[in-house]
Amino acid sequence: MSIIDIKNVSYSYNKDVNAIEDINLSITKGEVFTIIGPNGSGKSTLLKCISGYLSPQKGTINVNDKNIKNYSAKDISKAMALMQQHFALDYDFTVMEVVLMGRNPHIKRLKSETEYDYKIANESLKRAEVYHLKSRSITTLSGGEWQRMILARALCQQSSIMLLDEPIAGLDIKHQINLLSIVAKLSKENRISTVCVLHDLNLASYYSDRIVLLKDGKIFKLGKPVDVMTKQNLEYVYETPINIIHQGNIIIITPFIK
Amino acid sequence: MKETNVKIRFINVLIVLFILSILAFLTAFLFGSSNVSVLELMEVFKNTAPKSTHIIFFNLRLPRALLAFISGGALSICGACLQGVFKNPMANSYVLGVSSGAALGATIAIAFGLDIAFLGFSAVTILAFIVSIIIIFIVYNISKINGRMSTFTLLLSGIAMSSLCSALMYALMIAFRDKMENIVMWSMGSFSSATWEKLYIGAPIMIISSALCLIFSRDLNIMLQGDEASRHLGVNPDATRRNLIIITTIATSSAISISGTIGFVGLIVPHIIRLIIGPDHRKLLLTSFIAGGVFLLICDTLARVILNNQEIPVGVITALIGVPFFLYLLRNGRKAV
Repeated sequence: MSIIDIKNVSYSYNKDVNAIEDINLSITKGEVFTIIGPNGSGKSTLLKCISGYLSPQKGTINVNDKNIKNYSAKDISKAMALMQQHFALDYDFTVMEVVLMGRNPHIKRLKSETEYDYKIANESLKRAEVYHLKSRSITTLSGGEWQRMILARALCQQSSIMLLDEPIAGLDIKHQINLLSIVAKLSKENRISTVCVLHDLNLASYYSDRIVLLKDGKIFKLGKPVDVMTKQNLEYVYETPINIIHQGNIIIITPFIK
Repeated sequence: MKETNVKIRFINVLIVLFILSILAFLTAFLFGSSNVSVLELMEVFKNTAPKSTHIIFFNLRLPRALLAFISGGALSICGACLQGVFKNPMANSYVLGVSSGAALGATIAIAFGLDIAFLGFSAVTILAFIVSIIIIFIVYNISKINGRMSTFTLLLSGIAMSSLCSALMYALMIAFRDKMENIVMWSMGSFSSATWEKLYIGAPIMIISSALCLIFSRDLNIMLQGDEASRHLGVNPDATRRNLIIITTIATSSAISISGTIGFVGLIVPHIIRLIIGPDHRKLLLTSFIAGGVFLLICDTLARVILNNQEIPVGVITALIGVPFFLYLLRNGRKAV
């Protein structure tokens, strides 16, 4: 059952060049869907269109059968949670305070968080494996801890879709795997649809149910990792020679250096 | 636990500010060109005081103290709001051109000797209010690009319009040299002309605007995380910014048009409070209002009593206290954000 329907979507930052062009996609409930492609191929633009932050000049994006243009900020936040790249927030909030901000879509103006909101926040902290940090100041967190906190905030929203924009950028390999493992596990357990922009092709192929490979703002290939991550496709799109090693179901992609 | 500590500190700060407010009001009532003793003040409340003491208290000191407190609170809460809106510790209504606009309006009224009054307000107050609102309207519309407001353009156009207003003000001062002293005195701020009429109109505007700011306190916390994240946490950043700019402009314009340009209150008070209770706007805004009120009331009392038989503009006192603190912030800026 599709939860996000993208039909003939094009978006341009200026009139001359389309950042994305004629995109058609369907994302189903509970799947981990990853957008890959070289720099400037339109990955983040596509995610921003899905999130409603950018309004496509052409085409429609329906989320839960409703055009994203008709969503208010409150509706968007109930339907989709966003996890961005690691960014600096130099304010002395605690982890719990930031995670509780994920309850904002469910709290009426002038009302405070209830016991139930705290319960959800505590559960989210545990699921994102940052419960032990809940009283810590966010200014003291490492990159990995920070991203897990933002994941907890996203879970706290209790939305059925999670959008991840390069969530592992800047993290070391341990924290990259740790974060994506939690995301994939939660996606399966809670039937959350996850749309993720990734640069790491190995992790993309390992954690994704389906992948879309973009080139110059257009879909070059869409399908299961094993169908998309071929030597021919990747060498053409990334314009660089690569090696692909198959170890059972796992695809290992390495650069080919002469 | 940190959350518990912050809550306890917040309650403690509110208690301290409540006590300071009472002391600041008492000091404002007791001291001035003619001092009033505590016993005389009690007689005023019992309605047994001499008529002269009664007049000093009810016609002069009480409206003045209330106006100073409410103006200080409004300027401070607006500063705290805009620092959150722009994610910039130096942001306040003045940067957007409110004070320069008000000063230009007041200068026009003083220079041309406009002698109209409406609801107890002089032409100076009315023009100061109107011109400051016009300036913000221009600045806001310049900063809208493709329907979205650019914070960067807003701040820059605010600074540019401030410079333009100042240039026009100086040109008028040169053209009307005989009015120069009046213009300078107005621009340094004073509550000496406080009356009940001004309080009846100005106070509700400032109090309601401040209360409206409180409604957006949770949104301000969320907006610190950027526009895209805000939308996904249920906050429309463009609408919130627009609403808060309108609200803070009305509050600040009211304060400045009644009492002249009073700098640094909206800058330093939120900073001090943020250092004590942290960045959570749900606590910061209310606390900033009370602390701003106390600060400006104390400054106004000092302005009245420091020199014998002569009043110093309150803007001078706030700047004398504000500038050293501002420089301290520049040195230790990031810790204070």
